[in-house]
Amino acid sequence: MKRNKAKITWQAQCMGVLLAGPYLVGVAAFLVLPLGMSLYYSFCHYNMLQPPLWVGWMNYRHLLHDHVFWRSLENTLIYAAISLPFTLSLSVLLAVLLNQPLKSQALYRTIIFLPCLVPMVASALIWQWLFNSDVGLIDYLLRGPLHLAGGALAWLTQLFGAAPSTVATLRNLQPPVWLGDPHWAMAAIILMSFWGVGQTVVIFLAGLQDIPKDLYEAAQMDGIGAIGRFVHVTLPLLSPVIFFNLIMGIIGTWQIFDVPYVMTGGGPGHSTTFYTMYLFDNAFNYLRMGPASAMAWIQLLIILFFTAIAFLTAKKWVHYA
Amino acid sequence: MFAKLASRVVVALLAAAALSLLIFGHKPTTYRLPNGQKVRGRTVVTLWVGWTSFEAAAMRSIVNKFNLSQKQIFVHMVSVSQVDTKTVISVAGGDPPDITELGTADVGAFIGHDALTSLEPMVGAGIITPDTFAPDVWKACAPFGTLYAVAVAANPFALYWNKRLFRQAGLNPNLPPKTLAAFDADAQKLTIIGKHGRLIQAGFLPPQQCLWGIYFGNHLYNYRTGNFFIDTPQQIAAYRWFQGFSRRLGYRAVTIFKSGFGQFNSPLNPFLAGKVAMEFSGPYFANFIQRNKPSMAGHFGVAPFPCLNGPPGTQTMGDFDLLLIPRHARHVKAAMTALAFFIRRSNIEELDELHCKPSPLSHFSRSFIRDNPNPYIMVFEGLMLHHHVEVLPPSPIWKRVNNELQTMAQRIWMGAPVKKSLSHAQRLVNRWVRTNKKMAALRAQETR
Repeated sequence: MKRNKAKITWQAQCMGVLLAGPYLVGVAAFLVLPLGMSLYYSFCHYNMLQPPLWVGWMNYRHLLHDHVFWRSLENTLIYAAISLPFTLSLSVLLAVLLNQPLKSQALYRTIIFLPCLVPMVASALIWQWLFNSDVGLIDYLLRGPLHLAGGALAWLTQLFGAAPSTVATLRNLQPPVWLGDPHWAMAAIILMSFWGVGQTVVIFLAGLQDIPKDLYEAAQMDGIGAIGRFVHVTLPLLSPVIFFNLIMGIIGTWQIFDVPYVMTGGGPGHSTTFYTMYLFDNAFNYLRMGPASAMAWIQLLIILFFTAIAFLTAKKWVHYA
Repeated sequence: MFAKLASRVVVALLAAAALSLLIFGHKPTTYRLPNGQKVRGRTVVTLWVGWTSFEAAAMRSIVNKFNLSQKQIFVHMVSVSQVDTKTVISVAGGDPPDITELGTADVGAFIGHDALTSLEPMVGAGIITPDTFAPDVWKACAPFGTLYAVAVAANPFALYWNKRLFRQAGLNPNLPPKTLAAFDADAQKLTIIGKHGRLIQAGFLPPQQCLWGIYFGNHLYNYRTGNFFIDTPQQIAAYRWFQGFSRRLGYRAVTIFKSGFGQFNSPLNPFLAGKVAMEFSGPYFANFIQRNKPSMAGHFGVAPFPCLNGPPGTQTMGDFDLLLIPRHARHVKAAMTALAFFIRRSNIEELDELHCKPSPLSHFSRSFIRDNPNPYIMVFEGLMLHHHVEVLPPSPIWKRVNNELQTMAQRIWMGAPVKKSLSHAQRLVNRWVRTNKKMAALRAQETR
C-alpha cells in the first residue's frame, strides 16, 4: 500500500512538472536567461554586431562620469517624487468621491477610467496639442485669468512704486511655453501623468468597498465627522491598497518612457530625458549594450531600494484587518 | 490511473502542438511578378528600404524591371520604418536582409562594427570604378578605402526661397542672397513681428543640425584619425550666427511660432504655408512642394546656400541614399547582381527623376535634366559635380556624438554661451573617441 502511494506521488510530481513544463521553459528562456545575459553584458563591451568583450567594471565606472546618466537619474527622481504622491492622493480622493451614492455614479466612474483605455502614445500626442503654445487649449484657457491676475498685480505693484519694467512684465503675463521651456517641460509631463489615474482609482474603489460599513456607523455614533471618519477609518483600512499602489507606482514611475519620448523626445536640453529613455538610447541608438545593461541593473537596484524602504516603513502605517 | 492521465495529457499536448504547427507553422511564401506570374525556382533577394509612399513606389518600379529581366533572381522589396535599427537587430540575430538602404552616417557605424559585406568584388569585376560616382559620393561609399555601399540618390542641401514673400518685402524675387551678410539682411527684412513681440512671419529659422560649421569653413570629422572638430573658430562663428536668429527674434517668440507649424509632408509645412520665407532643405523638398502645394510652382526658387568664404555652395551639407549588403546576408552574389542592375545609369536616373533628386553618378544624360520634374535639378547637379558635399561623419560613435551636438545646439539656441558649450562638447566627444579607439584596439588584440 505504502509503495503504491509512493509511486503515485512520484507520478503526480512528474505530472505536475509536465503540466508546468511549458511555463517553466518560458520563464527560463524569456526571463532567467535574458537576466543572466544582461548581467554578463553589463561587464562587457558589446554592440550586438561583434562578440561581447569582457571589460570588468568599466561600464559602471563610465556611467559614473556620464553627465546624461546623472541628468536622467535626477529627472526620474524629480518626476517620481512629485508625480507619485500627487497621483496617489488624487486617486484616493477621486475613489472616495466615486464611492458616494451619487446619481449616475457608474457614468462618473466610466469617465474617470476612460483615459486608461486610450493608448499612451495616442494620449501623449493629444496632450502635445493641448500644451501647444500657439493653438493649445491649456494656453487658451490660461490666457484670460493670467491677463486679469497680471493686470491686478501690475496695479498693486504700481501703487507700491515698483519699477516700470516690472509693471509692464506683470501686465503682459503669458502662459508658459510648456514643452519648449526646460523649466516647464517637466511640469507638463507630471501634469499629464494625472491623466492615467483611472486604473489606480478602480483599485482604490475596490478597496473602499471592502471596508465594513459598521465601522463608519460606529464612528458616526461616536460623533466623528466626515473628515475624521476619512482619517481614522478610511485611510487606515485602505492602507494595504495604498501600499500596493505605492509599490506599483514606484516601479511605474522609474520606468516612464513612452510619454516623454513622444511629447518632448527628452528635450529641450535633456530637461526631460528620463532614465529608461537614456537606457534605450544606449542600447538601440548607440549600440552600447554594455552600459545599457549596467543601467538596467542599476535601475533594478534603485527600484529595490525604494521598495525596501516602503516595506520597512510599512509596519508603521499599513494596517491589515 | 495517473499514468493513463499523464499519457493522455502528453498526447493532447502533442496534438495541440501539431495542430498549431499546421495552422501557424512555416509556409513557403509565394512571390509574384508584376505580370501576376508565380516566381518559381529563383533565388529570392530581400531588399529593405526606408522610403515610403511615392518614394518607395519609385524604387519598386526599378525592382519590377529587374525581376522581369531575370530568370535566376527575384528581389523582394520591403518598406521598413527605422531601417537602420532594424538592420542592426537583424544582423545581430543572424538573419539580415540581402540588401538594405541606409544613410551615409550609418555606413561608418556598420563598418566600425564589422557588419557589412565588402563590395570590392564588384570593383574587381569592373562593374564599379571610382569614376562611376561623383567624387564625394565615392568617398561616402568607400569612406576608408574599401567599397561597402553603392549610392542610388543624392541629397545635397540648398536654399529654397519664397518669391512672393521676397516681392512683398521689397526684395528682388529672382535674386537670392549670395553672402551670409546679405542672407542675414534679407532674413531680417522678411521677418514680420506683431503685437507683444509675436512672430507673424520669419525670414529664416535655422534647423538644429550639426553641420552649420561647414558653411564657415569647418570640417567636422577627420576620416584618418576619427577625431571631431567641434570647438574650432569656424564652429564658434557658425554657432554664433545660429544663435543670432534666436537672440534677434526671442527664444520664447520663436518657440511659440514653431509650435504652430504642421508636418513636413503636409500643406501646413511652414514654408508652404508662407510662415517662413527661406528654407534649408534637400532636393526632395521640390517633390513635397509639388504634392502638397502645386500652386507654389514657379513661386519658389532654389540656390546654393551662402558660405562665409567663397561663392555660395563652395561647401554644402548633403546625404546619399546608399544600398549595402549586411554581413551574414544569405545571397551575396545574387544581391551584387541586383546592385549592378540598380546602379545602371538609366535605372538610377529613372529613380532619381521620381525622387526629384540629382544623380549620384559622375555623368548624367540630357534627358534626365530635360524630363526631371524638379525645376531646379541643375542647381543640385551643380552642387554634386562642382562643389564639395560634406556628409555626416562615418564614425562608429556618430549617433552618440550627434545626440550631444543636438542637445548642445538646443542649449545654444536657448542662450547658452557658444564657446563654453562647444568646448564642453569637444571634451566629451574627445573622451568618447579615446574610449572607442581603446575598445577597438582591445578587440583587435583579442582577435589576434
